[in-house]
Amino acid sequence: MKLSCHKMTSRRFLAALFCVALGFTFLIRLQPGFSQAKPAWQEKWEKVLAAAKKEGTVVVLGPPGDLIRNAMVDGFKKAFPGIEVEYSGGRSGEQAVKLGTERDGGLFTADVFLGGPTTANFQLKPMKALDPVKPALILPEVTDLKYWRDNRHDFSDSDGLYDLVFVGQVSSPLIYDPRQVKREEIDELYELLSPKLKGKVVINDPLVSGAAVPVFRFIWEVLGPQKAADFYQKLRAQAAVVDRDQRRQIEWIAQGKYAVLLAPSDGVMAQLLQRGVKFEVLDDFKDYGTYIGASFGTLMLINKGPHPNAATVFINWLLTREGQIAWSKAMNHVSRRVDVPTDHLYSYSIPKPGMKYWIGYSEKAQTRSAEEEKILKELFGR
Amino acid sequence: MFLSKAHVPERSRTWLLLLPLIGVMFLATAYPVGLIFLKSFVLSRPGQPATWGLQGWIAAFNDRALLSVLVNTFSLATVRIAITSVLAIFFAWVVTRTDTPFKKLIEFALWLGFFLPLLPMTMGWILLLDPHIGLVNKGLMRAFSLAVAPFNVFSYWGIIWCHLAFSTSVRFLLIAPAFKAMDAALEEAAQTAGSNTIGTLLRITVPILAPAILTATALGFIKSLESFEIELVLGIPAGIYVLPTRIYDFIHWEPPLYGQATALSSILLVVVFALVLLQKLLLGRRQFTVVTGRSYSVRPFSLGPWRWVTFGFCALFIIAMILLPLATLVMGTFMEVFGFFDLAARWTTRHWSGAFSDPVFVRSLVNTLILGLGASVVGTFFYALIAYFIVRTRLPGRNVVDLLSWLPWALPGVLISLALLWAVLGSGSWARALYGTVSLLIIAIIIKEMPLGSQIIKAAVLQISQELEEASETSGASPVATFRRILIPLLKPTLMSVGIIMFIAAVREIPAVVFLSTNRSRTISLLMLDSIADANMERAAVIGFFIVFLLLALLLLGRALGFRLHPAGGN
Repeated sequence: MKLSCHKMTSRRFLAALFCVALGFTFLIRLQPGFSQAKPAWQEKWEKVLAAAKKEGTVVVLGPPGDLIRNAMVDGFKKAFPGIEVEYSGGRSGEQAVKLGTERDGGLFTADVFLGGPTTANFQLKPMKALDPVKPALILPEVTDLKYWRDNRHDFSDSDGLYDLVFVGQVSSPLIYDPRQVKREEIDELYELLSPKLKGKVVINDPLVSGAAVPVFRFIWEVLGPQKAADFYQKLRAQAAVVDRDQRRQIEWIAQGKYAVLLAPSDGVMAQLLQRGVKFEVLDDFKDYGTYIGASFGTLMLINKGPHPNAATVFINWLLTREGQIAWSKAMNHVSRRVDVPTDHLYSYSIPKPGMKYWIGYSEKAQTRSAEEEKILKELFGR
Repeated sequence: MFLSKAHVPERSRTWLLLLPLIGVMFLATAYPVGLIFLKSFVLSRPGQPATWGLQGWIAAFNDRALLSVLVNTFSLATVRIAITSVLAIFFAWVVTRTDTPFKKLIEFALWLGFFLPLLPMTMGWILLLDPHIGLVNKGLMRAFSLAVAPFNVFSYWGIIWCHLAFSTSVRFLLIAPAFKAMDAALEEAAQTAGSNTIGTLLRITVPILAPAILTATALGFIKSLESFEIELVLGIPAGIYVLPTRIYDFIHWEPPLYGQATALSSILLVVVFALVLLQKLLLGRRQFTVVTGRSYSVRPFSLGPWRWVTFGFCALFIIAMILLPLATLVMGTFMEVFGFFDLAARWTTRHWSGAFSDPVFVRSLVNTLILGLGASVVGTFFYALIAYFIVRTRLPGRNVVDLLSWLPWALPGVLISLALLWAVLGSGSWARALYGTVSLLIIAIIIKEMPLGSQIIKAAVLQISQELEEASETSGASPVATFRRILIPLLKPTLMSVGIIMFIAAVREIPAVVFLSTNRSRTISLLMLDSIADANMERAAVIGFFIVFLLLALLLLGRALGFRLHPAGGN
């Protein structure tokens, strides 16, 4: 009995203690300013977002075209109604020249640059116009590496700091006209030198920036300098035309004017396929494979920009699933985010699991040796 | 007459008014051009410490293909200028000095030829004359059972062919005012003396109009050397490279090789100065006054039944060279993919709806109108001052101003744009305030078109007898009043032409404004560039058409308001 009485007292005491603790907690919660401890990212995000709303605008330099302009402006506005995107589309090289001149004159007008890795590494980085991107990544769905291919953020620059690559797609080395040539006749690299194709090959000019630069770099790397130099010479002799109009050369194949186009532009190819133009795409060479390219899909944070907080918000939005879907649909690009659907894309552009690809967007991959440069100029220079 | 006895404004205020012009000319031409030549020696990349050297120049001139490039460039320009000059003189004569029927329609069509955007029109020609898919080729092959296509637009003659409509129209617009201003009594005298129509044209009309014709030829030749859109599209597949396409290569290299581009542009500079000297030598000691105080006759020449022959030739040219590719292009803008007739859904209106529903369209349109109007009014007035300064004064520096007025054509538009960007951003906050405004674009257009505008007006001033101004001053009018009340009214048709040409140039211009515009000052032509860069040629063609419609609407509005906006407008 004594024991049970003791037990009763203990229980009552514990219950009372629980009630007091509960009441105390309730009272504390009622206190103004009380808040549950937030994760660090959230606190940082809220601060940046508030500052971004005060800035009101983010100036983005990006690829040309109304589709991508509207996707970026409308998509971001829907997600963050208080911040406007001032989007300027154009050729990356020209935009970089303009940006550099503005900065030399003491004008700092742009916040974010979306463009090709060539512009990043050979123009913007040397002019010291870029800030590291990683410190600006805040949202967990952006920073968490599980959302990204190979569980990592990829950068094109050799420092791994300035040019974040968010697009990684298989770049088809060639397209062909199935009425003139069968797939098995051109699915190996050296088959391009077949006498049957003499005068039927169009080459996208490797001496101007565009899709031909990484294709020729790829060939040089996989064959090695000696074999590649010989291959280039024989390939040049095969060519009917060396052209640089990236749309016209694809149309020539579709119209049956020539049989094969080496190094077609991914973006233009997808545009024309969507509109019903017919030609066949070779995914990769059976013997040497192909490469992964980034096209316009890399982002840079411009330093000394007028709207640093809005730039941070924009970058985070672009790298979310929502932002990447908007980009992917407008540009027909394969995102490096693994949760972005690919059903709107052509299968040739989607990397195949387990297959090894040469990475064509890295600074190292894009740098030609003096020997290669000399040979290309001799063969394709005028 | 003016050369034998040039007028010297004596009043100090005329000096005060005109001397700053030398400063303005230096600022507008020599400074940016000098800046770009100076920067061509910079070897370091932007943002790095500057190092200087000749490497850019050496690389540019060390090009083994340079000789063939120069041969192509000068050959194409010479052949084109020869053909289009003959055609332009013929059309100007038909429209201004004969009784050919439907002259106004002919003139209107030639204006249309000047409005049309070159790149989309070339697409129209490709659809007609491509040896593989060209509709004309296919039709002829079917009709005459030919094994090979008779025409190939991707060739030397294809390039010349595609230039004919635009180049002839430009030359027509340059020389037509001078034809109109000529006293018909001179031709009538020749006829009375027994000369036939062609003889009178070749022995009287053309020699008297030598300043206008030579100026038009010199301007046209330099413009031909600069031309690159058609050469880029048609020349490269045919292996025909010209100087501007080489310069274009260097500019679009990544990073751009502006040093090499500038080095090659120096060839244009030499040609420009050589042509200026040649023109001075040819015109220097002669008198070309055709507008005097006496009343003069503008009665058209009666061609009799031959007037239907001249009409037939004009109609044929207009239908074949302007309307046919134009119609093809209009059709192309309604195709899903231009030139693809075998698609399941081949016709669409989405290129049109897409262009006009673009949210930036309206703002770009407003900017374009401000740019066109500003460049037209300010530019024409500025060029008139330059022409007056060069022709009617003996003030020191007039020859320098004359030479400087040609300078902007020594550089491709894109380099002028870059030079102005450097000049504006490197000249303190007062100049920097211009950046991002339409005013800066207006300045760029005025500089770019200075050779054209000032030389046309200069040629027109040369035709006006100085007696008229002397009479005004003897009656007590100041030089400023004489300029305003005598010279300007006499020059009205020419000034109107220059104003319209400036408006059109401003509305169409892309390269000279590409580095200077921002989101705030974007124009319709830059929207078109956006579509071209995006490989959306159908949208680009729609915007190009809109520009044509805009210009035509303004031209008709001008006429409705009572302005005589055509070059054949009389004095």
